[in-house]
Amino acid sequence: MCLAPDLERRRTTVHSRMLFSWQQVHFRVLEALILVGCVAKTRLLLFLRGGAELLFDGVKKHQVTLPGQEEPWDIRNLLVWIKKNLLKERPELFIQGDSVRPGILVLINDADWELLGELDYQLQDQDSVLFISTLHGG
Amino acid sequence: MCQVGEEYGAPAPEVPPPPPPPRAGRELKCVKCSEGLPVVVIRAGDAFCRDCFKAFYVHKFRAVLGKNRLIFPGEKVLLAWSGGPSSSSMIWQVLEGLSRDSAKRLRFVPGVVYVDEGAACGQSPEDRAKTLAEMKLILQTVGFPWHIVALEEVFGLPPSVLRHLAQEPSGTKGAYKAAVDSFLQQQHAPAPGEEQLSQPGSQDPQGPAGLPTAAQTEAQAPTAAQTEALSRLFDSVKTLTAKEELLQTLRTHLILHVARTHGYSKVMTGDSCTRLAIKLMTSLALGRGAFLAWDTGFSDERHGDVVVVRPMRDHTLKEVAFYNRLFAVPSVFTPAIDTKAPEKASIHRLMEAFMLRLQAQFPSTVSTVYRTSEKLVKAPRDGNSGGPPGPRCLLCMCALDIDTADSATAFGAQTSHLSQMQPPTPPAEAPTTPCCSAGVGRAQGCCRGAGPCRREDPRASVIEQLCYGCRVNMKDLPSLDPLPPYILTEAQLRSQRASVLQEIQEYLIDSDDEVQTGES
Repeated sequence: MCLAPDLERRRTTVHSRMLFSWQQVHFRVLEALILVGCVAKTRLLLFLRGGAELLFDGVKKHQVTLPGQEEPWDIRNLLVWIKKNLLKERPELFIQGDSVRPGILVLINDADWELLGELDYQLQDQDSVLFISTLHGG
Repeated sequence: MCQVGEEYGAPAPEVPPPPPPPRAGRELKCVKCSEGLPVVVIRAGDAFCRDCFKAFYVHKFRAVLGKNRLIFPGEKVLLAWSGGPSSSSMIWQVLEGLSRDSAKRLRFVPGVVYVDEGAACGQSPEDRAKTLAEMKLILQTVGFPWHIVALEEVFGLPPSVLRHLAQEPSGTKGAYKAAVDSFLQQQHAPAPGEEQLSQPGSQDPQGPAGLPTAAQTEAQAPTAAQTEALSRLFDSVKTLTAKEELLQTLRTHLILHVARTHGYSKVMTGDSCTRLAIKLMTSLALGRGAFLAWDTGFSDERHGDVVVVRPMRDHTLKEVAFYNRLFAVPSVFTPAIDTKAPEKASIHRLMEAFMLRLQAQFPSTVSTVYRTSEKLVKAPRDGNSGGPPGPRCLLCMCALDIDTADSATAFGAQTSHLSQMQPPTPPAEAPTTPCCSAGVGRAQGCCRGAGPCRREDPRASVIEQLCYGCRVNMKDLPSLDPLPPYILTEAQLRSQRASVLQEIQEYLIDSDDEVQTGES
């Protein structure tokens, strides 16, 4: 499995310094831990358009790293996480019950979320999720 | 019946919602071309790929314009742009439509108007300047002649804005076809000095250099006094509903004025299908049911010479948002008067929340309401068909739907009530012929009813010239003083005219043989 470049660099430097077998074992354990760590974290790009950014202090682009957990992240969990960590004010204007408020469109990797299962879509690493509020103006 | 997850009264027995139709997964293909990967779901379950979606969207725009043959070739059309997604999309469609080659090209001459409403929304001058700078950037990219006006300019409007200017009828279908044919003939045989006519798309070069400077107008920044007056006006309105209605009215008047000044005969607004469905329901709640056909139809001829046209009325907000995202249409978000307002803050917000929530559960809601609005017919009132046009509302300029005979008693009750509240004070600008002058000393004729003289109660004289919906809005305005002067002037003019007409009514020769009475 190929690692991210920075991890790869770290791996080879560690490798070159290794001399003794118990250090090899030590390294293998370390490598396993690093591997588990980067698989579990999900990095996402969140975009907010059409006025939704007003609820997030005006910030339109958020680069988030979701903490690792046993069950995979889906949109339902993401919304809960956003409500707890990113939403600055008026959660009822963004989230309604389980889902987003009607009138807010969700695009995952530039495709309609209805095509991908809406709330049940499982997020992959480096996905981009875009929330467009259509409730404003013409 | 429709229950959207909230129980009112006795909770309904727990019925699990019907299982949602199987979602079209990414493995499915576009329903139109059956080969592309679908990116958007339109209506209920139709998945389109990117190219088919674009073709579908553009086709709808052209079809709406082509079906209602109202825009003649070479006509000047003003595009009302708010910076929001629907109007930006409309401008982009016009831009693309004009630059196509051959017979499918759009054939009118566009201009863009942007109304800066920052003062009404309570924005700071720095924010307004920043927004204006972003707007100008986009306007320069688009390349049409543009006009930026601030809402404060309503304080400088002439009373003629409120008058219906009659226009000669545009003619039958034959006239449209003839106009198109003659325009095409002109194009194919250009005069030696007019080669550029064959490519009107290139007549709109980028940047101000190629366009006459008169075509791009930007008023001077509004004075602090005007901004203050506008803020005072909006602060004096008690409810958000009335504020939104007032804002809409003033904006319409301002755009109308710009259109008349610069010679535009049509105004295009970017109202989308969803917005019009919401507007239809809101108008019903506000008491404007009589004017639904004008408020939500494709064309709105209430002003007479300038016709308001709604080419985006077939596109839902979802389609507009997707198109703007997929094809990079620039738009600017500006906070409006109802930004971040809670759901029950105004009738508009409530209706919007209701419709969108219903739409989420029953996906054909918006289209059903929209189709209903298409069936509404603009019929004249029974008594007026064939006769002279009746009086029009002062603010919304629709034919008055209140029977004056009926409201005489109501009016009398109103004036006596109001006169008890405020001692009558003569207005600052005294009319030249006060209606109670000694020269026309009729005991019963000069003022309707036994109430005090009408000129001493300006509020009642304005209110009686409004339609029912506008009257209900005016209830939330405790004093009419902060209103822009053109409204009050026109109201006074009309009431004077009505009272003078009433005085000389007996002297007028009627066509149905009423005997002319002698002098008093």
